[in-house]
Amino acid sequence: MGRLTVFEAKVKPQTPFTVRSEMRGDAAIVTASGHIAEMEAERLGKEINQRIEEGARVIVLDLGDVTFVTSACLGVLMGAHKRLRDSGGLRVARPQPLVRQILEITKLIRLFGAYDSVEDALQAR
Amino acid sequence: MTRERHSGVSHASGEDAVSAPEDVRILQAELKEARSEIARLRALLAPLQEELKGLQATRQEVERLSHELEQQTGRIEQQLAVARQFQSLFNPPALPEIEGVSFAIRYEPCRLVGGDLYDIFDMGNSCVGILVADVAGHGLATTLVTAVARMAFDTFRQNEYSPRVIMEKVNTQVMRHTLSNQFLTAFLGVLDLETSRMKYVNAAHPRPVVCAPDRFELLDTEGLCCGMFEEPRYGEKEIVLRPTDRLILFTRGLIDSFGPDCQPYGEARLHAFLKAHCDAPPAEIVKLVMEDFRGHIGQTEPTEDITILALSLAPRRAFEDRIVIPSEPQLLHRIENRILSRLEALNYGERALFGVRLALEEAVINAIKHGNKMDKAKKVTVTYSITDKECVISVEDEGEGFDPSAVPDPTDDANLELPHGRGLVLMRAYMDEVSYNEKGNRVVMRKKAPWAD
Repeated sequence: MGRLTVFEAKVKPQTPFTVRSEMRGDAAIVTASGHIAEMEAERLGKEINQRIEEGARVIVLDLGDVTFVTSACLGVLMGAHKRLRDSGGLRVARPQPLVRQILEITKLIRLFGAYDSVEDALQAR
Repeated sequence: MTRERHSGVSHASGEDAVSAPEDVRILQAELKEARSEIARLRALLAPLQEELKGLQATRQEVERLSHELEQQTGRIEQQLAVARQFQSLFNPPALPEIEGVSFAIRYEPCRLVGGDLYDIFDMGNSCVGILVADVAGHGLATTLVTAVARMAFDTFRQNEYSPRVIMEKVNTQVMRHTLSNQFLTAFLGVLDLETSRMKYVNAAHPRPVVCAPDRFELLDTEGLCCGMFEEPRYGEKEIVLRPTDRLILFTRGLIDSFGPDCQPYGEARLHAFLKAHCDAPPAEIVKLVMEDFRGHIGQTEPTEDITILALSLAPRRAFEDRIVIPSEPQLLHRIENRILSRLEALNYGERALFGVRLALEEAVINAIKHGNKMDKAKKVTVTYSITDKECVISVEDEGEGFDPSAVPDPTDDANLELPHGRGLVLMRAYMDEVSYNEKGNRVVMRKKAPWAD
């Protein structure tokens, strides 16, 4: 278009994706942030699987700082949930409204829940 | 009478001159009397003649003066005609059509020639300038100021998109080149048709109105009239025009003209009238307001120029674009940035942008993974078109296609744990319409603009 920037019209840059986790007893608390699409979902999956291999029987995923998820991310969560189905599964804590809406539309909220805090998610077992 | 008597005397002397010396004496006496009568009459005549001379001089003077007056009136009329001619050049009766806006103008110069000025001009970069101004006063002097202002606006709007900056420069120029008591009021808006945002500055001009059935706003900013002050302190504001909004600008002549009841037409009556008629198209609004105005002033001749301008956004040609990427997920952001920045500029809002981003990611990832099977030699083609009502995105891959009706619904309780199909669910949830071509390698998704019903 070759258009001069007359009025600012910039798409908000996506918050960068980060993931970290810690063990609490036999539960792993995985805290992610930013935009989780195809590529990020893979990194999230690796983090979760590593914790499962280390012995985590429950995964609590803190989505408080996650702004966006796609079906790729949901697929990873579903994979983890299936692996842990008999020991407690995967639980989601603190989803932002737009992310929570995605869990509702796909009905995955029935499997993962949508807890108000990490503590609530841990105690729900 | 004197002559008759005299001839009577000659006649008598012709017959009796020698015989009657007594008669001679009588005749002499009569002659003497007649002479003195003549002298007396002459004496009476002299001042009358003087008076006549005076009267004649006066008459000549009156004739001269009336001739001069006629000439001067002619000159004034000529000047007014010149002024009128110039005014008609400053305010062309037909403005060019500009894609993206629909507008109508009524300009009625008063007999004494006022200083109304208006223009709508294409500034490039999808921006349109909207100017309405009113130079104080009447006649040729006012026309001169109008000329200075007109040229200043024409000059300073080049390569400048801030109405405040343009107005500041015009202020300086008008101050420099006109007398100290000459000034104008002016409103200048710069409307970006790509974003529907209008920046504006109001230099003490009657406030333009933005109205729709659910909106009524008056456009005013900080700042003094133009051409009078070293530091006019102009502010600048911004307003987003929606397709249903009407922008109405006018000059003081409209609201200040008196009717036979000695009441001005007035802002209040205009505002109420606009509120009642703001769903009409611009041409209709201008016509209706002028009818209402005429109804108010009746036979009274307005002493000011009258200008009214109504404008609304008009549907633009669809914006269309096509992006082709190889099957690499990390290139997705290119597509997203191109499409989303356009929608954001159109004020689609956070929720709509979130939905389009999600659907787009799902569709492109599907095309790369399931359509092209991650074969980097195969391309994904995204075409999109944006109108003022909707955004339509199509994503096509070079794979064999699939039958979307054969994909089990993963939101069925029995299917919740299935690995696939959720992308399709999300696309359908966030877009207003999702459809596939027969082969199943191209998906077309439609998202209505948030303001479309």
